[in-house]
Amino acid sequence: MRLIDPLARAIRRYWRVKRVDLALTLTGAIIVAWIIAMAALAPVVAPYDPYVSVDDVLLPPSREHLMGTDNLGRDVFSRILYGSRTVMAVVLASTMLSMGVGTLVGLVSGYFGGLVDRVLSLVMDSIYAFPGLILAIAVAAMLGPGVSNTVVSISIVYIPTYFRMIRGQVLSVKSQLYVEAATALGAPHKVIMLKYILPNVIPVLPVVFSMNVADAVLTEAGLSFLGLGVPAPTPDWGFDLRNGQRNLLAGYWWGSTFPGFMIVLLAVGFSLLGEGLNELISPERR
Amino acid sequence: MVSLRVYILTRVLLTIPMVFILLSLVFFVMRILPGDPVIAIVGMKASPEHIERLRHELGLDKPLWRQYIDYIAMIMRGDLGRSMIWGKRPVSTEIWDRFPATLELTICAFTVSVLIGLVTGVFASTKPGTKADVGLRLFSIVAYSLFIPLLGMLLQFTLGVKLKLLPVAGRKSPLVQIDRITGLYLLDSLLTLNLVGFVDALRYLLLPSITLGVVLSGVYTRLVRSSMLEVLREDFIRALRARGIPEGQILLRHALKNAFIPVLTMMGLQFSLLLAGAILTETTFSWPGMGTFLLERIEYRDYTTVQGTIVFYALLVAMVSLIVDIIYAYIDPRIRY
Amino acid sequence: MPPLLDVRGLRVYYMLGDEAVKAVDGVSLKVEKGEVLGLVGESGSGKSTLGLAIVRLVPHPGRILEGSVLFKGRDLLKLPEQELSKVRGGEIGMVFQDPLTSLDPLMRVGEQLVETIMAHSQLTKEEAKEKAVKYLELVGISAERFYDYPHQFSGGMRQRAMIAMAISTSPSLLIADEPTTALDVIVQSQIMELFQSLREKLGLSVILITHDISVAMEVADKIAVMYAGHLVECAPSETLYDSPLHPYTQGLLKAVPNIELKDMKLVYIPGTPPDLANPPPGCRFHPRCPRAMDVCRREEPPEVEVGETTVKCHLYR
Ligand SMILES: Nc1ncnc2c1ncn2[C@@H]1O[C@H](COP(=O)(O)OP(=O)(O)OP(=O)(O)O)[C@@H](O)[C@H]1O
Ligand code: SF4
Ligand SMILES: [Mg+2]
Repeated sequence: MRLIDPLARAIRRYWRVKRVDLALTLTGAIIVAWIIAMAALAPVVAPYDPYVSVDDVLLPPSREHLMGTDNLGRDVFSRILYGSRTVMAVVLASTMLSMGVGTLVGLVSGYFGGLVDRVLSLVMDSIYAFPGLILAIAVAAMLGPGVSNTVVSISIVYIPTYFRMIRGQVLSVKSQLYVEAATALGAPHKVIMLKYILPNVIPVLPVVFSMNVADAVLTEAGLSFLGLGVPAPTPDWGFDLRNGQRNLLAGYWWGSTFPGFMIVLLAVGFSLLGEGLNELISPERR
Repeated sequence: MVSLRVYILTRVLLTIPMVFILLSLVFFVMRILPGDPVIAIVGMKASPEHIERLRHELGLDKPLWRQYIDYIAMIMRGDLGRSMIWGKRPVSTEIWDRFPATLELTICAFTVSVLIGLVTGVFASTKPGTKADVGLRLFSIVAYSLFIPLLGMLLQFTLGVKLKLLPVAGRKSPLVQIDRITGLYLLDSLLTLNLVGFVDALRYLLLPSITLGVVLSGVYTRLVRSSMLEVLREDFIRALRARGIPEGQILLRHALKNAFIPVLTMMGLQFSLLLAGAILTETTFSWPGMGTFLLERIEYRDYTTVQGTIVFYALLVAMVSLIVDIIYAYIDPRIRY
Repeated sequence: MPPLLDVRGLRVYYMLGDEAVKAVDGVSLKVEKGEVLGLVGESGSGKSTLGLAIVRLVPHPGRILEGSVLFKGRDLLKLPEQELSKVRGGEIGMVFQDPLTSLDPLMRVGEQLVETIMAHSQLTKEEAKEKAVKYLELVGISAERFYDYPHQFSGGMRQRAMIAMAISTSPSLLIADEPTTALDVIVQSQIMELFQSLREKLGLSVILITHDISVAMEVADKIAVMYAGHLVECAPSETLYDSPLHPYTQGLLKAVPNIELKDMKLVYIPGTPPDLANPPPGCRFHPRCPRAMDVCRREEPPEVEVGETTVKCHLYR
């Protein structure tokens, strides 16, 4: 009884204080899960081939074409379904890449310190200060079209976030007793970094990751909206939005509105998830 | 006031390595990343002599370190290079043509976002934990995730196409004349007492600035809210209440001013978001600014102009962060004295 | 004539989730015109909470549950917020525990003083400024420091500036919460002297909150002792000093180095003050009281008047 009572009270208090955060996290998770399911099931669910003309052009939404057809007579709904695959693949690949590079560089920089650390920190701060989308545009323009080039362009934007977080974490772990003991015993740098430091800094990654993904969705959509993303005719929400805009002024709203809403939905989903998780994990705030 | 001068001087000196690294970064992106600019320009099928000549013209046949020094030296002279395509026009001249449009857009969008952010943020901070507060929190998340082209198009479609209230593309009507002084149409038309021009320019500015402003306002809502909550918990607020200062005055004259300092320190980074967002806004509204300029030249493979433009962006970012820090010193007496 | 301030049965709890911290639990207290009341007690006994509750400034999650605060015949707890803000800083001045953080760091000290004066009078800005300079000088800050920012002031100067603000509106009551704890000894005695002279010059009543009973002895006419949210004893200073009735007060006075008796040995009261979320039943002092009886563990003691002293203890029933 003595043990259960305070526990029950703690749960009740947690529910009362963090209810909003729980609700937001859950909403975000549902949205994201739903879009992942869309991506996974696209070939099964999609009524038409997203690459080819299947009907007259610019048909409004109807029972045959839930979201109408675009200027080439392609089924917008099918393109949206397949587009979720492009977005998910590019966004996840590029954030993973940022995470890998940022973690590695942050680890090295924080561990060795000194001049290396100074220079790397300055470089990362400069990248961080530079407008992300413009950086991605410049890199994409130089690398030329292609899925992997798009992934690289986006990933560069998010490397500094991981770098900063990991570096700070390394600095605080480095001075701890067991790491100093390992150093004193003459363990090689590589072993200390990978065996003693890395496992202790990894826990911060999910938080940074969840915060970055939402932003990466918008950067991906921005790049492809500007024609610098995954090349046509691959279904891609940002590109389809741009494509639909040409006919928007003539009143054909469906070609651009649906892809646009999907972008916002996915970005909101990831934001809610990331922010909710962050609030739930860090109790000291608010 | 001596220490203020010292502060500014230190801050200026600190900007130098940042500029240097940004410039190097641009160099790296333009030269070292795989992808041969010359082939990209003339295409695979061009004759070897043609390629060689272009390579020489661009200085790309020199060793990399030499190219780097030339590049830095050029920028030091205040030269951003020359266009490869448009009759060797200096890039700086072209930027001078286009930059005011972007400046005008970003200033207006900035005003919109700060206004929305202040009102919503202060409001949320006075009612923490209420439904209104949660609603505004949701607003800030959704606003930031609102894809600029989507919001732009929705506004274009409703206010422009359906209601025919506002123009949807461009900076002014073709028939309206605005004499150029600064290149900022609103300012120029005011200076020349051109009322027609002013109203026209304002009508064109409205949708793009609102689009960009609303999307960026969410960040301010959140910043202002958390910063206000922090300040409102401080002892001096309670002391003001104990002195019987009216609540509105406490909120606006004391709390908001104090809360604004952390917001201000974030504005350098906010400016980066503004510039990035401006590219999408300009493309959506066919706004003839830096963003559309950059994209045009990327499409034409005008390699030198693209480089010059990116360099310009880098200098701009460094300068704005410097200015923000100086304003900060002027507002906060703890730094000034 | 009714007293200037008459607090009756005041109850202020801090609501923390399912718990309530009973910081002030049924306190009654009177302050006459021109009187200095010393409010003493250990840290956490509820002194600041009581001071704040008088002008309804208890911070979140504190709540005033019960009681009345009659000031010049009006119940401040029932006054609408707008009228109350005229009383705050107008008729009742306050000086807080921590002078270092009690001024707006972005506004010149002089301007903060002017703002306070203007909030409570019809003066123009120039007149208010003139008055502000006068009050700064009264507390010993020269006029040329008018345009300084708070961070340019030393701790003592800030505290004196706070006092200048509190008295610049000619209040009839000043609530000073540990006005000297953050300061060094010399500044401390300067400020105490200032209080004395203000009281003589302006006929001001003062509630001086302090955990140091010897400081209170020096300046106060009457002393109220708080323990764990209760007011346990209230008496004129000399009476309290000569014949403390409550066992807690007796312990406190023994803990003061007694110069007259040349007995420098400190006698502390053994034990620690209770957790105010779950205070002991009956008399809150009983776990530490050397004279505790059976009834003390069961029943809360009543307030008893013995001569000029009011005491809350079963011994005097
Ligand atoms: N904001 C608050 N939230 C929760 N509990 C509080 C709060 N402020 C004070 N308390 C609690 O109320 C009780 C009384 O606090 P108060 O500050 O009134 O004591 P005090 O006598 O002024 O002490 P000190 O001498 O340390 O200033 C303490 O137990 C304290 O923990
Ligand atoms: S009531 Fe009892 S326990 Fe409390 S002080 Fe008096 S004697 Fe001690
Ligand atoms: Mg206190």
